[in-house]
Amino acid sequence: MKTLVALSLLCCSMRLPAQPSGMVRIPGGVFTPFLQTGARPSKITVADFYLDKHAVTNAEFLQFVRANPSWKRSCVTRIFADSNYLQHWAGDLDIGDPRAANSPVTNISWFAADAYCRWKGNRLPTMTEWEYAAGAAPVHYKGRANTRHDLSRLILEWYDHPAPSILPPVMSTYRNSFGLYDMHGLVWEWVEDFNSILPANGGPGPFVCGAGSIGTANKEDYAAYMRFALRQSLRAEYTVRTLGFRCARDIAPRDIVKK
Amino acid sequence: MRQLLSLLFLAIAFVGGSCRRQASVATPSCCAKPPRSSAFSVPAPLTPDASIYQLPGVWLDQHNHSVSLNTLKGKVQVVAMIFTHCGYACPRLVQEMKDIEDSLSASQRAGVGYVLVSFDTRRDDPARLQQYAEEQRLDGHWVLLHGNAEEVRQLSMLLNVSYQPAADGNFNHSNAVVILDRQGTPRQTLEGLSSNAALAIRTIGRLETQ
Amino acid sequence: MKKAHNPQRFRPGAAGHAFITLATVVFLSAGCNDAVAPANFLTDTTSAFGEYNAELAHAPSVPPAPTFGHPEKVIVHLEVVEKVMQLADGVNYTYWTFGGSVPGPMIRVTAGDEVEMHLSNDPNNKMPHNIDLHAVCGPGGGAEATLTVPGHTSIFSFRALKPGLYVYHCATAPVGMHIANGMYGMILVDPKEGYPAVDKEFYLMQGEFYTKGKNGQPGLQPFDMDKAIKEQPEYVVFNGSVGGATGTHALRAKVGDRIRIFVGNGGPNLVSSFHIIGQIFDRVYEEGGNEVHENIQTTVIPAGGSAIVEFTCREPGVYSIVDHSIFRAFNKGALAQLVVTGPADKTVYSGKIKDELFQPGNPVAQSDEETAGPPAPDLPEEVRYKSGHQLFDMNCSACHQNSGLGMPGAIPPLAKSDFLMNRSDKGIGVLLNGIDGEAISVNGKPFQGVMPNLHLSDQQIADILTYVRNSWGNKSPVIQEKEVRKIRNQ
Repeated sequence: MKTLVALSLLCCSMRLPAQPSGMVRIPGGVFTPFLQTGARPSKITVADFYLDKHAVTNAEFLQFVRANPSWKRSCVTRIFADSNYLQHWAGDLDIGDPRAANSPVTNISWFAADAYCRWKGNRLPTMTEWEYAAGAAPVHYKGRANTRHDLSRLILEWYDHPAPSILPPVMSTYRNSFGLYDMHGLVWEWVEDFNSILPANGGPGPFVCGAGSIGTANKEDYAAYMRFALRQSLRAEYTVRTLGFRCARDIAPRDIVKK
Repeated sequence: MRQLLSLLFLAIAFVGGSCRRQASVATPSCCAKPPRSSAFSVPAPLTPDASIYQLPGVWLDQHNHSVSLNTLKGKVQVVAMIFTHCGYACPRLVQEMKDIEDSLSASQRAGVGYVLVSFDTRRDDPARLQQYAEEQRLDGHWVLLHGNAEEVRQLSMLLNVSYQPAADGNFNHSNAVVILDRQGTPRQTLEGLSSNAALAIRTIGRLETQ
Repeated sequence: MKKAHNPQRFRPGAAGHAFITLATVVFLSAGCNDAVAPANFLTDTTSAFGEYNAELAHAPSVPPAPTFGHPEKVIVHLEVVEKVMQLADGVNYTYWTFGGSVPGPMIRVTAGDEVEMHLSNDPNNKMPHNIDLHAVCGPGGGAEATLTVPGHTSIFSFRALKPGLYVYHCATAPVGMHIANGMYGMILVDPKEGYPAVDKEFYLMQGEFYTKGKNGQPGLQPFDMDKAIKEQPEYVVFNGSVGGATGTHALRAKVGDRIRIFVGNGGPNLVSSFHIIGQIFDRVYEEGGNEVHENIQTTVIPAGGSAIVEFTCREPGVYSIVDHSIFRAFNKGALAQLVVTGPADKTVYSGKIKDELFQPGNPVAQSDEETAGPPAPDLPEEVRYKSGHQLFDMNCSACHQNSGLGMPGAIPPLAKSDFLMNRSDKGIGVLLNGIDGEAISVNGKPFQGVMPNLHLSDQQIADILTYVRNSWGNKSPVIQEKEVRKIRNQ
């Protein structure tokens, strides 16, 4: 019986259309969120979704700006991006240093990232999706065998070093078992609902002070603390030199395998 | 005239101290909007640059009419994000807004509106919002808005309200009452549930005279 | 590197002191938290007379005492910088700093002042940061109000209600890691009448570092979370690094100076047993507060706490300042120095007058000079080396380390030491007499240390020198007892 199901799954998946270009299909699963606020159950089920294989690059974002002049540096509406928006570019339609073309685009606001994804027919991943996808173990990293614990160390090592003046290109750090590149170790990434981090009991936000250890799944996941602290410090119009994004997409209903 | 105005704004920005770095010089070739000064000196009049009414999108009000945020322009608006099935915090936010309304002088009332935006895109349809308005005895100064998930998320960003859907269909959210000036620029946020109507009333009084 | 503080310093009381009007409108604006000109809540309800930019000072310096008789508005600009600096000789670390230094610069205000904090996060940083000042009365101590993403500035105001010496630190999750990476400093709130006048004031702050590599392992060392959670640091230091307050960075004073040290402990974990070898504190403001205790030898400074110690040095010399949880001082770097110059006072401290043999039960005590034994036999190198190794472990390794590498800035190395290996006396004189504060140069690095006369026998000295001159890459012939005796009798 089991074989039959597996076979039928295989058949279905063979009939699936090719996945969207540059995206990876992330198989859903059960996930323990880092943040245990009480509002969410301790485990949640994540549905299948597509996620960009790598973060959006400067060159890709340039195409978006060309097609949408209102997102030019000199035109952007100030409530949608602060004045550092794309400040590392040489001009409205000029990335500047050619070495940066394949680096992840940074200095972009949430609104800009959101607009880019919608322009591509996609959307920003939710925090749950992003965390689920980023939790996968590295397939290879500096030739070492890898475990979940190693992932945490790998991330902390990145955080330990100041960012270089030109960010490394995408797909330059590691690939994880979902086939995603650079989920950690290259840039921070926007998520759709980054502003959903709430204080546990109306106290200070969860990621300041000693209260930081209240309501989290793993007190030793320092890398997660850092990601959530960063999210809490952001506002949607902010732009940061080490903050980029990648897009997600729902699985079209016809592609969903009936269980 | 427009040049004169922008000069005036620049002058105000200079005197008042600009709170944001100046926007890069606008290139008229691509931007239809007038050149901006990023003046944000309170309580001097603002450019519309910081208005949240720039957020595109079509909402439905409690009468099932399509509205854009821009239709709120011209009045001082007192805004909160809620959901109608909320049992604890939201009624207190609404009560705080009612207290503000009740405390205004008769001459002030016509110039002030009240807006409730629902997080609950699934359950809070216009009919439900209408029912809620009646339950809460909200008068004609109140607008209750239903939007899609994307619009609600974007608006929450601009109002700096955090929220998170919970497993039971309800929402965890931060509590804020935001006062917008007549252009739609947020000018004061009353955080939390400790009512501070007096502060809001002073602000409204000042904004109405601008 | 940008300076932490506004270079245009505004000295309190200086000409041109800016008085502002009090007609500040209270107006909270949403949607523009960090961008709006700071709303001024505090001056709205109380009377500050004027405002000035705080003059900050990097350790071991202390900002001048404010001299107003009334509350002021003090504006403080602090910038968070993540940067690689030296933790120990050959060891680098990515510090997260307030103002580019560990500890962060000292802020000095007077009780009653309104303090307006501007916390900037360098655009090149990766982390969000904030500041919790223990001088603040209010939730989070400013932490929530100042959570700041790279490339932004947060502003908040507080009133310095209570005098004392307070720690400030970053309180962004994971808090311990931000502190462990160096994000702490101190804010001093002078009492309205000020602290009593002294001749010298210093700023000293302890903190520990958790590196992946063991103490001394060279290279850029990452933070080790496991060691931090177990509270097992590789380094315990004063003023941010091994040697951060020794040698050229030592505190300096003159005989007779009344000295006050503002001591803090950033932690993140360890409680300090603060002690100055060869001093008694006349007065200690316990834990940085009002309570003054007199004649204290060692004072406890909790993590995230402070003490103000006062004393007068009556005798010149190099005083070691230590965490008297003493392995931290000897093995992990918790050593600072106070160099006191000026005339000696033999009525206070004589130095060694005479050395005598002590033999319990023997009624006749003989002095060293009178001992004359039979000629000692020459021994093979391996015998002396083995004995020397044991003697070294007992007498020398605490300072010079088993590695022979010493402690950078404080204890000179023996391994490949030009000072040791090039001496015509082969080092015998040093072991016979010790070194009494004289400035020496070892492999091009200056040391101003004290090595005690260990009162070793000729045989012991020959053994130790045979060992140290043939270890860690050193190579020389065996040293025999007769060579030591010859130099002793010179």
